[in-house]
Amino acid sequence: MRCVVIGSGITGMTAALLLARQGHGVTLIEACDHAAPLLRGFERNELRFDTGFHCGGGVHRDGILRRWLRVLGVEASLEGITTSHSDVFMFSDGKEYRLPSGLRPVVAASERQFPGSGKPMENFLLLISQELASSPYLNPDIHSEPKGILADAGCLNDYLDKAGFPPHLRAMLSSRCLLYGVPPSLASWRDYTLVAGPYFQSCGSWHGGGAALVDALMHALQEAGVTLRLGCAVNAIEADTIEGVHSVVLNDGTRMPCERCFFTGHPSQLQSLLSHGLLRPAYLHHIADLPETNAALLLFAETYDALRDDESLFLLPSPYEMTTSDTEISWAAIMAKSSIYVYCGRPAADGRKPVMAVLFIPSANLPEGNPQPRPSSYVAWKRQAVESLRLAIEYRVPGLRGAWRIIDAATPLTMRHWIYGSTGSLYGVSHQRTSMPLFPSTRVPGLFLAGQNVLLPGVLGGIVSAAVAVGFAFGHNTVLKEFRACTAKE
Amino acid sequence: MDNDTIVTKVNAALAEEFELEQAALVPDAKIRDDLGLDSLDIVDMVIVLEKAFDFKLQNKESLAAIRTLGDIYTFIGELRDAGTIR
Ligand SMILES: Cc1cc2nc3c(=O)[nH]c(=O)nc-3n(C[C@H](O)[C@H](O)[C@H](O)COP(=O)(O)OP(=O)(O)OC[C@H]3O[C@@H](n4cnc5c(N)ncnc54)[C@H](O)[C@@H]3O)c2cc1C
Repeated sequence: MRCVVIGSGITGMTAALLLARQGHGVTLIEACDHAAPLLRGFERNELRFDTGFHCGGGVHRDGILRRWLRVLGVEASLEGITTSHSDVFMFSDGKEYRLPSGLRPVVAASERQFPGSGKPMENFLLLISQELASSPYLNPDIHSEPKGILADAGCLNDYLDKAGFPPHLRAMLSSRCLLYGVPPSLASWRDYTLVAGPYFQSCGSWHGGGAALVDALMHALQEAGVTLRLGCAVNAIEADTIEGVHSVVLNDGTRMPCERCFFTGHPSQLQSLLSHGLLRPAYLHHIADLPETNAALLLFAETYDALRDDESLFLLPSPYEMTTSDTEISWAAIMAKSSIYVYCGRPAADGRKPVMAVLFIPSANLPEGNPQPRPSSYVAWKRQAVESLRLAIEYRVPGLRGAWRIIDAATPLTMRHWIYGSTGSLYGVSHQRTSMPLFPSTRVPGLFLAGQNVLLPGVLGGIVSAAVAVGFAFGHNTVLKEFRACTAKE
Repeated sequence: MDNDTIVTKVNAALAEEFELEQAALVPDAKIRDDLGLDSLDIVDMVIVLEKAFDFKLQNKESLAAIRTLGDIYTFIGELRDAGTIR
């Protein structure tokens, strides 16, 4: 069958690969002039900066991400896979803790730093593993259908309350919600286990990060015979409610006939991509009302030895100061009470290491759309914001003073410019416990949705979402057959 | 809010948002077979109801029991009795 996949992020590349391996004729279309702009990252001053992938959970030999990389045929191309990153948590009250990767080390570290917390931690991790093991797309031994979209396992806070962790430890566990941009108070238990869970089992990366993964996938796509169209935005998906999808139209006017279409961009585009009447008002309202994750300010810097390779730093407010209504944060409160995520990558040949820092910010004061040239008020705001964030980080990590150099910064406008159809939020749709998710299938036969906006953010989220969408289109077993058959190489 | 108001509001919202005929909206109407709304639509329906009655559904699994339009009236009535909806 002729399949078109719209968007070449991790989700689109995965979907295209799985479809081509099943014998379909696949065209992968990307608006940007190179594949996977978010995952690939960029280069400045001869230093490679990752954007969409710094580290992943479940990268150990039997880990879930590792298994999917093997299914996709790219595991062997990734060199220098490490599986034991550790996270540092620095609180504004001066307290500092660490969490290693691996279930047993986490329990031991918890008990050592918070005496008495080992047993509840063991239990907490067990519940996470059980939830993770319940999906056929995460556990090759499960042969049932995936759980329904309405399955509800409660909210993260209930599980944290029940465990009775001391405040700092609780804040450390909650801060993993930063990885998908959902305030902990609004996080569902299930989503937390899916995104944060694998990071407890093992946390790691490989040489070349996101770009190496993109290169490996591009090679696999070529081998599988996928046609790639770069620099082409899809303007329209043509369909009728009975026959379903019959073609997509590119911005250069090319019409590409297809019977199945997988859309991986931001769902807010659907209203204009599909002609009026194909989607009901209820569905369009559902899409329009989906909450977005917060926007963020990203700093990109270089350092020699102020930070360790492959280290994540979570700079957190004192747990006694954390705001409970963390959906809207005011700019004034940000520097005092913000959570900042800092990641230090592996050194280049000359010893310089790339550093990225992320701070969630309210987008209220930013210009709409993607104006060119940038308004002067915005340029001034950006300069000031970058400087404030640099100072805030140096205040909390004194070792960085004079020991790092800011090279570039990205704002929500950068995101809009960089990722076609992005609203400027960091991770697209915010997956909150009480918001209704989008289903991979739609009312238009042959049109499927996948990606961070549908399932969950993250490289694993994108891969699994693609697999699930292909499963909905052609039967779950067509995908899971490969997933189950794939075993680790010795 | 009395039961008649619930019925009127539910019917108006569903007719508008799912492009259904008012005449089809009787209490015995089966959501799936008579109104043609499948499991995909149920998710959107929750949002339609949340908006119409200004509440946020806390437990999605409570929807599993809904089969007919009458079940929806009852469901909303129960939320009213529990004080979730005013
Ligand atoms: C700063 C940052 C750091 C992150 N760090 C990590 C990490 O360390 N580990 C991890 O696992 N995850 C991380 N993530 C999350 C992860 O990168 C994303 O969730 C994931 O890459 C999303 O993939 P996707 O394919 O769903 O979406 P995208 O990568 O956004 O892909 C969608 C693509 O579709 C294209 N497109 C959209 N509409 C159209 C159209 N109409 N026509 C043609 N093309 C179109 C877009 O240009 C885009 O390339 C990070 C994200 C960010 C922003």
